[in-house]
Amino acid sequence: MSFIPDFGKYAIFVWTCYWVSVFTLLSLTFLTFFQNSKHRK
Amino acid sequence: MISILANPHRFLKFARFAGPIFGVIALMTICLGLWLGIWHSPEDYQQGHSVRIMYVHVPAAWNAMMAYGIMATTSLIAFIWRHPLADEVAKACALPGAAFTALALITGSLWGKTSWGTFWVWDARLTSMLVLLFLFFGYMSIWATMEDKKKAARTAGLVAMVGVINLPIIKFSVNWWNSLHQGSTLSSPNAPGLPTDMLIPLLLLTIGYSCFFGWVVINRVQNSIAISKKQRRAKENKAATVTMETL
Repeated sequence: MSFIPDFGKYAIFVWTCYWVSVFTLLSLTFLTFFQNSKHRK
Repeated sequence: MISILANPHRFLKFARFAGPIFGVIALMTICLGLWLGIWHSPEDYQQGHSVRIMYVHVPAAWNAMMAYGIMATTSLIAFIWRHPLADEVAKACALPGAAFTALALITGSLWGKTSWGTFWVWDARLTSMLVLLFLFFGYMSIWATMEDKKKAARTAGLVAMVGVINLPIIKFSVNWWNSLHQGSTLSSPNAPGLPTDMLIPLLLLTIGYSCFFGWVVINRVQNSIAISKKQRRAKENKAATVTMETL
């Protein structure tokens, strides 16, 4: 098990999917925290 | 359960303990699911490593449909019993629902390129998912553009309820029409099924995404209640000032 696994010819597709997913989840998380701090004072 | 949570005070009590629980479960299952999906699950004998896209694509698609289902159900509840909290729940589902739909389309498109050789085809499953995204956008734009919030809730609720017809179309499109998209792997009794090494990260990420969705929706509804309280207090203060001035 290497630190960054090699997905061969599909690497770009697989990693893009994972990064887009993590980015979406993090964006929703930060948006939620931002709205919480704005509205619940 | 629904009638208990329909009261904003009881909902806030429920949200105070349910929100963090959903958040912690989401964080743990998503991290574990991603770790297993990237480092420990085997590659497919036909699709190779591209099968790993399934672990982020399927939970996103499932949550997109669940979000719309909840949005339509709560809109129906608001329509029948005229409970404003149901409208707030429906409204809170729209943004994360749209995000999950877009995520399902993007990851599906990339998976399509590796499996079918193309990013997009006007296939029934793909097209109905795109329609779902437009339904979410339509719902959100009604709330954003109509000034009268009661009218906005009724109109957006109607859109949500009419659009629910799209959910069975998405689900059964692969059975009703010829499709490049594969049929159901988990729910169909005739399907070959998934090996445990692949099933576990898929289930973990599905649970994680669902709990994350729950966490976001609970927080958004809490914020809506806080905004309503602020607006009510501002109105009361204004009315009190006017009364004092007239005296």
